[in-house]
Amino acid sequence: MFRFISQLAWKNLMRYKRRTLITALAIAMGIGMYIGVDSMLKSAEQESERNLHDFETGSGVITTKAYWDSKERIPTSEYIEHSNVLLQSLSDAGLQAAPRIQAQGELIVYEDPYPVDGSMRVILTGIDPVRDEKVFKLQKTLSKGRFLKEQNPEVILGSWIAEKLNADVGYPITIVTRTVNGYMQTIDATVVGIIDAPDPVINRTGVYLPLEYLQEMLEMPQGATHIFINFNMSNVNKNEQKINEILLNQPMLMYHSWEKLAEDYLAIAGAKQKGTSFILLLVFIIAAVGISNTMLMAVYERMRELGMLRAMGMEDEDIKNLFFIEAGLIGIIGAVFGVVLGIAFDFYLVTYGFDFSMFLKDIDIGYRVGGAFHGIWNITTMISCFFIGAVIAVLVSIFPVRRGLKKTIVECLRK
Amino acid sequence: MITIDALVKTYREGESEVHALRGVSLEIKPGEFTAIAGPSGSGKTTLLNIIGLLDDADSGKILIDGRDIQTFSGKERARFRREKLGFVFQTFNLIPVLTAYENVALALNLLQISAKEIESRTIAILHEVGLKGAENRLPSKLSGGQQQRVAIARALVKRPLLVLADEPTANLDSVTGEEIMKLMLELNKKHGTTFIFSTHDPMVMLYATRLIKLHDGLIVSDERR
Repeated sequence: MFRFISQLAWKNLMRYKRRTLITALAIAMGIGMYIGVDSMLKSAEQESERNLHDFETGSGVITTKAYWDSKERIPTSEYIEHSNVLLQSLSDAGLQAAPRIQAQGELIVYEDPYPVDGSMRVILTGIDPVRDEKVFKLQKTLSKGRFLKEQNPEVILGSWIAEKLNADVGYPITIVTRTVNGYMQTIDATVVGIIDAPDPVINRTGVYLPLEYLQEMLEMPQGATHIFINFNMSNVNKNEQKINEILLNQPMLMYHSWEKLAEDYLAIAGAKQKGTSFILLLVFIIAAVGISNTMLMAVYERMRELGMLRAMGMEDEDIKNLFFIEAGLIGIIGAVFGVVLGIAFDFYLVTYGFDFSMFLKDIDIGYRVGGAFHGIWNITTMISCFFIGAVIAVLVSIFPVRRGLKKTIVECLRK
Repeated sequence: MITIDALVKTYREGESEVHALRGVSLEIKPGEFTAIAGPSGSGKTTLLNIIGLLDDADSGKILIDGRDIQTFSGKERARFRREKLGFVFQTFNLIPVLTAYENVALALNLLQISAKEIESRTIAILHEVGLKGAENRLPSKLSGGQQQRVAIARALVKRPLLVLADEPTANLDSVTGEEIMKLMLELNKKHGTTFIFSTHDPMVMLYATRLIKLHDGLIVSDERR
């Protein structure tokens, strides 16, 4: 009986080829889009986390408690004194660490060599050219000039900020900031390098100076606002335990994991994931309404046929199965097309990606993806989408089929 | 043997009531070729629908082979229709995606008999109704008369106790209609299957061996020929 019903279901689908195809395409579009967008988002998340780790957060950071409590306003005066002692302890514990200073400042450029006079508010980052490499990959992204040398009044800029200022290697730059004691300080430095990092935040906002030079300028010898740490993420608990043991005797200091440091990013990424899921849910609902409508039309158009089958003694269960198989087949056809579409979408994303760098220069979308948004192959998503497509198709056909079967045989035959 | 006793059926149409059957009683012997005649609204189709377990009577009894079919559950009704009853409708009601062969075989597929038997019985009945060579045609490629022949073959292939035909010639021209009546009569004689058909066509009535006339839900004449 099942074989016969399946054959009949297939023939019915072929009878309305165009309608079957349109409905299947609606499902295919939903599934294809889901696979593609999911692939792009997962890839963006992976890349963002990698870039955050490599350029912004490391595995974690030590700051003073006072700094952390008001970190949004970058309170440079709440710095870690004698950071070298702490760095030595971390090194003794086998942990890679790099001190950094973050301070607010105003970057000023003057006409000649710049096209016009101008200024902008920036966050200055003082880095130790030797130690920084143990935690971050900034040095590897140098696209022009050279990296910083200790104690020199020099600066390297992110590529987009350099482009915005029309700055180049060798150009002078003036930075006005405040020392930790509250005095105004003016730094005259030379641009020695331009970095082009895969992290858009670095390219958009990066203004780096040598740590020792900045310590001197900000009147905080041996001080650092942050000590970033890099360790193997497969052994987080053990490494965090080591750090916390080191900090036991320093109640003013506190360790924060990269997740804490990247709380804003994680919140944005989470919200985006939810927003995208909601949009995709709407796409699926539209596809589901399409199937439901197709099945409703199929039931109503074939009401007399349905009556005839019931008159001939076909049981309601078999008639339900007939329509469920039809819906399931539409779902399977749509899911196959959808997965193929998703694979094509994924292939394009993995191979070429979508280049949003033009927009990312000016807008922070939260993701730390600098150039092209790529995709990743996600077989689990493809398989689950295939089954979900087929199952949804059957589920949404339940209502129209039951509605059709509620009519008496005589009513069906009269249609 | 079909025994119908005091069958009553009333429909509601908005605020008003339509008395389709007002106490119909009759007996039909096995092998009879019975026409239920009468004008539109006389209750012919309602009577056939109730006998065919497609509709329920408000009161009264129908015994087929000694069994009170009104007491059947939904599943028993479906089974009874599947095994014991054949239907022929004025609009043929063939499944458009199935060929003539498949439409006829459908009735046997529901009985779940062997593929071999389905094939032999289907081919035999199609040849018997004059559709040799048209087995693989879809209904859309058949004339009205041929479609009704397929419907008759579908009704008879399962060797039913009773074939119910609701105005089987109403959608056919007079020549084709007459051919269909001849065919039905021939099959009735050959297989001994009981036929009950409704009509208001005097030509069709001529073929009946028993003519029951209905008017306003009541039997007004019952004539054996």
